[in-house]
Amino acid sequence: MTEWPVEFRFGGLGGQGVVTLGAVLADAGARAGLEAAASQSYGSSARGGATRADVILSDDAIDFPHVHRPRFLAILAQEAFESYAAETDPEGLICYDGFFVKPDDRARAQLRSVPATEIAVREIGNKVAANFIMLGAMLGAIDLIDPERMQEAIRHLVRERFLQANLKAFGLGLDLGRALPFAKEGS
Amino acid sequence: MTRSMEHWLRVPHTAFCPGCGHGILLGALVRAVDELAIERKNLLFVSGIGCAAWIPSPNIEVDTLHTVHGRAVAYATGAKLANPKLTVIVVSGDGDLSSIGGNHLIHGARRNIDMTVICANNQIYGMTGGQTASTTPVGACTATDPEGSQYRPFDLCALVNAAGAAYAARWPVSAPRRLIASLKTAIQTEGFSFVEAISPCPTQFGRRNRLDDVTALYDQMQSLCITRQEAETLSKQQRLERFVIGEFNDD
Amino acid sequence: MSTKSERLILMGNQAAAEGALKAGCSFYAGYPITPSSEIMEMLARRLPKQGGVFIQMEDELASLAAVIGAAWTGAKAMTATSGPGLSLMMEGLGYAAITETPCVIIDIQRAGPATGQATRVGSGDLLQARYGSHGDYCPIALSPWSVQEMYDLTIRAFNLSERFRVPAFVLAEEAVGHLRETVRLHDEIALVERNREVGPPPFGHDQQDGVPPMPAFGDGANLMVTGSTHDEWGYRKVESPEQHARLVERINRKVLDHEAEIAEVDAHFLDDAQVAVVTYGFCGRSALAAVKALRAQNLRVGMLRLKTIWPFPDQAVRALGKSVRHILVPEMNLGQLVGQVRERVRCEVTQLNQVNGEVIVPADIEARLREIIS
Repeated sequence: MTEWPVEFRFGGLGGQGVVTLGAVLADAGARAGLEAAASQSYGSSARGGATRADVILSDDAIDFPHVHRPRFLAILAQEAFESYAAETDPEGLICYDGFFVKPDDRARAQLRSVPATEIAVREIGNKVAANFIMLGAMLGAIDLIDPERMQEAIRHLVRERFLQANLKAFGLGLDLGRALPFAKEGS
Repeated sequence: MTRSMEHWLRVPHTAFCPGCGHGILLGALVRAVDELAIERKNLLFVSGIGCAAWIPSPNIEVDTLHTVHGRAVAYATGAKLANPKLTVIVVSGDGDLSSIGGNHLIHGARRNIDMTVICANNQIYGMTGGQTASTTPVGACTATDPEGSQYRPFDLCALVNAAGAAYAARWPVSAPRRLIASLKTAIQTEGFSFVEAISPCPTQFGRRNRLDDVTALYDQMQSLCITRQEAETLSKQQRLERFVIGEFNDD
Repeated sequence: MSTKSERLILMGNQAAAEGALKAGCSFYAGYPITPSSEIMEMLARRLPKQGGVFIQMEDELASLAAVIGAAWTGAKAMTATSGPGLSLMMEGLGYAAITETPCVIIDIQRAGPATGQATRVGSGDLLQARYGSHGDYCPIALSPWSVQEMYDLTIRAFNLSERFRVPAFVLAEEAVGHLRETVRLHDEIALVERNREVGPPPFGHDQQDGVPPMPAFGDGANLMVTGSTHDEWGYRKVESPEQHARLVERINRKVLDHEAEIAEVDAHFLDDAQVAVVTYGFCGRSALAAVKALRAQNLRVGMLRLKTIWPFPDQAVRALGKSVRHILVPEMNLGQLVGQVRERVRCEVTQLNQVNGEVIVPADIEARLREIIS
């Protein structure tokens, strides 16, 4: 049984598409019958600069809609790791793109390197698709939301021009994540 | 011009000072709409703040929107877009339209939305007591430039033309037939059209500039009017000291 | 009855735009400003497709001017902005008030004054909306705490605006405007349509509720609309003390006298509460989480959330002042509404203020409530 609510955070730099990940996960959550709240903090998002997107999913009404202590953190930039790793639930999971992030011991949650940018460049031909590989890898590992709901959400929110690339990226990430399921330590 | 225009008027007299040109412009305006046979209920007059804004409101018995200072064109834009059946005519003064409302004037011309803007240009702030306007000639005395205005006035027709107006014309109120003809052309022109009526202000402009006698004021206005051909022989600076009259739809 | 899975996820600003479309908005004029621009961007796409008009104006002065011009043609018209733009709209707000023009202004509040922090949150526009234009007037202002309420209260703002011929605000904060949440877009909505009767004076003082009929331009009413003091037909009466008093008193009274109809509050755990939070907007979310956490420890705390800011919910706050011993008012400003509470209650009132561009979190409200209780 999942213990709701579950808090997620996506961290990166402006232009890496983390706000889109938050929107997609919230949308998929709603499609799965859950309550969802997503918020973001974006300074100069289109021009680089630390950006984060937060999502809460719950089986009941969400009183306070901001994330306090994410259980699941996906990180696409070193700055984001430094800002958010320590706040993450020790029983949670941090996925990070090893191409950009060198983790250190401030993270108490389980750490997992995902070669998102490397795969994006090799398989998609565009490093920007790393965000959806990361999303797929995290969702595949934690298995909380039916991937079909995720794909519906991607179709709903991603522009036609980028849709096929992002669906493919999500699928590649999902395979990576499923190959190595997340289990709480000791369980 | 013999037909009675009283059926267009809501009140028996205007609030304008003796010798003010705005009454002549009012007369020209109702004759123009009367001759064009525009259905009264589809006619909307919009005005800003100042003496000229009182030309339509309350005088003309149609829908009138007497707005805040400077924004008449913006209010008119909303009304015209929301109900394209309306014939929208803005009437306001030079200070209202080109100083506090200058940005709305040029954006109105740029958008080229179908409306007619009539500027009653008396070259001064009349209602507030004779202060300098963006149209006051260099050297003219005002309440805020007692030694004479030092900055150049706008050439309003050139301004709206540069911003994209479909039609612009300038006439003194002492040429009512040509004024009426241009008002009709402007109203019939699709897009943003502009008519500047030079309309003397005896109370504020005349009094402060040794033109106390109304006839002297009108004589001086007429002596400053030159045609476009005459203007071609003058420098830009000299042209700004005159009223270049005529139609200015240069395409 | 919709099932949960049929719910949508929308951003607050998008939900407000959906609400406007549902309410029958057919005209939008605005100027881009963070953090409200998603509203205009969505209406730029959607309004023309359903026969409405969208126009981006040259500034906020012109935006509200165009909205008022459109409203007088019979359109339900709106704009959206944030604090700096609202400052410019004060001119049009006063004009809408004295001409009794229905229009909706959605204000997505950010941290001010001036440019302040454009992408950060604040609740600094409450008093500007109420008192920012000169002279006496009383707009209606609603305060959503969720994406669902961005939708619901936008519809309500249109309805109240039409009902009372007043400008109505949705005073939301950035944290609600940019929040994405599950929302249900209802179909069964009662819409208020303007009384456009031609004949009775359009600015008359005889209507029992103080709201005269409002014909549109083109209806053949030969309207005289003016921002100057006017009589019941619109004739300027700029030197009559009686006409000015009569007009100004009526345009205020028609809102204030209907506080019971307009003002809505949302009560949580108040039945046996000894200490209560009085809150509005996003802070209500923090307050609810804090109150629930304390209730879990059997502490008798509750909260009253003001869904309507203006007219101020006088009766509900007076009643609360008699049933609790202490009230806490958390605000993302230096205390814009706490004075309204203080002047209506005799119990102790504590304020909790934060102006750092961040939301007040539940832990801060919880801690302050604990101090008050102990």
